[in-house]
Amino acid sequence: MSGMFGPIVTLTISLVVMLYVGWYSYKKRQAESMEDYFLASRTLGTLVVALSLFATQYSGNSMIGYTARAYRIGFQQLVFPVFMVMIPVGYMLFIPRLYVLANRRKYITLLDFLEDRFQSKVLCFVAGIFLFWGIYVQFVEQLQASGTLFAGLGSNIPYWSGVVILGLIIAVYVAVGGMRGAMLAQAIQGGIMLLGILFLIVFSWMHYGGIGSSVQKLLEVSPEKVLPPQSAKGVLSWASTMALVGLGGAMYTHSIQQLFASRNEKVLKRSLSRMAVLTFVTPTILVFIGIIAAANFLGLSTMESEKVIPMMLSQMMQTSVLSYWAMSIVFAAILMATLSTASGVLISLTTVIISDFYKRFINPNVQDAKATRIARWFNFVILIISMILVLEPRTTIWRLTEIKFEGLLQAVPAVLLGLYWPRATKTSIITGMIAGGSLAIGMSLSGHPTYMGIHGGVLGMLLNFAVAYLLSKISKAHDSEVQSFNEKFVKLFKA
Amino acid sequence: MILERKKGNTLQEEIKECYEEGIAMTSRMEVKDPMNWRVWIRFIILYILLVPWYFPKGISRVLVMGIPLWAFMIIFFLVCLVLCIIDVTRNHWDLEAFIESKDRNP
Repeated sequence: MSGMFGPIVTLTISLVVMLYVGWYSYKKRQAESMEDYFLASRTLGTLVVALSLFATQYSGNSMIGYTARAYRIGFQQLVFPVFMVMIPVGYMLFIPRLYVLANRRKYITLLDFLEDRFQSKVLCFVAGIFLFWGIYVQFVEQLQASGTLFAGLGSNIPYWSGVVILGLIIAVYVAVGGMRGAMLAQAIQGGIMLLGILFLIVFSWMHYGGIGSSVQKLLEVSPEKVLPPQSAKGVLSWASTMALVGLGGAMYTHSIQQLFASRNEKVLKRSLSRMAVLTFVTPTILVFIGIIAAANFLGLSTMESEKVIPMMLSQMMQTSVLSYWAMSIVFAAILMATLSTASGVLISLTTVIISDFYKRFINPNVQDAKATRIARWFNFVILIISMILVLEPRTTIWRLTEIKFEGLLQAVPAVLLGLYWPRATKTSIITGMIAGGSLAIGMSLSGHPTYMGIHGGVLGMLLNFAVAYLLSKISKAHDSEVQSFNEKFVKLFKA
Repeated sequence: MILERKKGNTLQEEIKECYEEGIAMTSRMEVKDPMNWRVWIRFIILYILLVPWYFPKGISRVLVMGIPLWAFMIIFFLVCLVLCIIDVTRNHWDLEAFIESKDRNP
């Protein structure tokens, strides 16, 4: 069997369920308030939080782009499961205390904390730009991934069709359902994704042979794909990627927003430990799939290799009726992965624009009902701008990932120093962010995104930390500021 | 310290305040903050082990269960990291006492 009938059927069923979930959530909303729209009134349970965190973290870019990278570099892409598990480690640095503060002081976003801590709108604006940048690129990645998936399935399917059709569906259900809708839909999508990944590994194992035979083939045709990093630069790049994603991924404002939406600390802790297990299993399987692809599709160019997963799907679909339908479910699963991330990101983008920029800098007295209404419409504005940008893909999905985290990383010193160091001053933090951001952007624009394998964003973050620390030491915070910080944020945690 | 009476407080108010503070202190004795060295030393060691810098050349030919030995070891240390995260969330993190009941949702 071949053709698009199966994928269209599975996709339609999934989308109908998701739209229903959006509608159901709209009906279930507790109030027309920002806290309800953006945090589901902090009422979500472990299963929903864990599965939706999983679905948000595993997206179209990881299922298509990172598997394609495993095709290109072989076992060295094992850095993918490693850095994914580093994200919960990154959370451990600040979420335990921040969750308490978020509940006590009613934060919706990370910027609420930064404003409360540093009492500076300029600092919030600069940090907001970096956080916004990270999630915006994440959104663009998802649209590019859905276009790539469609285009890879058949030569007669245009790339733009995936971008446009899926983009519109996401915008409608996020606008209707808000955070509750997005997270419930993501939880369902997380389930479908797990099933899809399972089918993908089982069927590719059966069709192309197991990982053992793929490794044997690779040892003959391209042995470099079986090697660990061979140079100091390769090793440093691996370590740098772990820091880049571990800390940058933990800064995703949409994931932090999801964590704030947990019902209580127990739910939060259980969600994080379940997420750690899922983040280990899934990417490891995806790397193995990429290795199987590397042994069986020889000689694809970099941009062609981006489509290697859809190519595998369409090849396996032709083998039997069973695999045709199983692969149709995988197709739906990948789209779900893309949609779930895109929806989580979209709602966060509107949160940043409305709650962090509009409410903070333009109209502080806006009514919640009006802000929520504007947020719902803003989804469409963001979507249209992003669709125009990705209609012509300019780089690989992996490079987009790096660019995204390099921006996000620049907010790390503000959060960590803000949370743990009473003497950090707002001027030093702002200067640090600007210095670090300039270094990262400068390196990227000059065509040297890494130095000795270390990403510009990681070097920028180190510079950012150093500048913030030294300037804080020199400028010295007022004793009254230090005391107020101690009262509000540190003494609170002293038993 | 308890005997120092604040200006203007009656003895009754003072006793009530001490009592409330006592309750709060008892509940905070259960508190565990993961921001401590015992937790982070483990994460740092695992970070170092998860970077493949210590494998000799030619390691790729040694296979375990069909995959290269070095990849197998990275996966093994990754499992250790996952277990470590689970342990920290279960046994080294309990700040619930700091969230006051009025802040909670019903």
